[in-house]
Amino acid sequence: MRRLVLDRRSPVRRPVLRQTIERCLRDPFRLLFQRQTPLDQLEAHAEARPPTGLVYHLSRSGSTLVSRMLEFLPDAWVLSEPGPVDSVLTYPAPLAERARWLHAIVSALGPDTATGPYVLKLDAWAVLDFDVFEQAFPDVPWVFCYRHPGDVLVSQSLQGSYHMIPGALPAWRLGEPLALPAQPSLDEYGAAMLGRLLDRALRAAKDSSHGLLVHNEQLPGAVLDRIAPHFGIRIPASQVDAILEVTKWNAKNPVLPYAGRDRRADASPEQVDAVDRLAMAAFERLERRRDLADAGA
Amino acid sequence: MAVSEPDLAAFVELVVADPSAWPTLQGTENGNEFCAAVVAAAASRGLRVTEDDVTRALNAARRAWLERWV
Repeated sequence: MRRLVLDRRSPVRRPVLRQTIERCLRDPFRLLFQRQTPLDQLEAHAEARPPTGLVYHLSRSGSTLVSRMLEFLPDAWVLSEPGPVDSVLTYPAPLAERARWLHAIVSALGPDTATGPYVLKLDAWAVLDFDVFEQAFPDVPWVFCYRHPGDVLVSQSLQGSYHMIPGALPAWRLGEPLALPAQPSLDEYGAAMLGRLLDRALRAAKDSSHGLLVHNEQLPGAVLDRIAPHFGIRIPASQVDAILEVTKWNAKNPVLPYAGRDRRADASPEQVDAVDRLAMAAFERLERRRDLADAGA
Repeated sequence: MAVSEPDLAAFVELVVADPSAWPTLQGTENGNEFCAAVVAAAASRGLRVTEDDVTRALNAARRAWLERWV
């Protein structure tokens, strides 16, 4: 039954796992006979299936395109923003306990047979929990997809994500409080959140030897020549055309053609100001880090 | 998923443990057809389940999904 839900060839498959599940729950059979497994039983039964690679991102930076391209590889098992992973990260338990649960849930969501790559594209705020992932999967390579925070903030102001709503993420997940003025506007909160995610990605890149920073401008080519090799995935020449076909379509709504463009040209003066004060320094630090890493590659 | 009616709860466990029972219940997104199929399949196993029982269980499951983060 799980294979029917998650297989990329399934007609119910959607770009994000939550959308796939919601499509499946229109089926009364799946609705009535769904299963629930307590975490302690999951730990006892889940066979270890570490992912091949992890995809962190700033949001609106091409990570869905990365996951859509990789899932066209033969036998690939790619999960995009799986809710159960975020649920175990949200539980305010000690890091070691969260890492154990994370290992169990990621293993349980993994492929039945480990014949192809298993890639997890995470929620944008998952990089805040980078230490938990490192404890659960210390050797698994990861990438962080990002772009100019002005582009992200404008896109988020048109259709906002969960983490950009003030108070949606519990304060303990942020670590240090965001450096915000009193009575911050939505743009200021969003820009500060983007700055925090960029800062965490920089710290991860400094602390870890198996990370790769990917600017949106490097896509889609970086999937073939940077990300796949970084994950140890070999892409057969016969598959390249099929994978590139994905890039012609809107990654999150594949019935629409791709129409990417820089959003920050549409930014309001308030958005420009918020990004300049609260996110640009972190973005520029990360860009310098990427330049250094690319020069050494 | 918690199913409150005892006979329906017993039927759910029987079906989950018996994949050979799935084909007769799969394949329709029509709620009325599905309820009728469940009632008939339960009756063939000596369990008394009504279409209202199934509808309530389906609605409870939909609501649980909607409220999972509330």
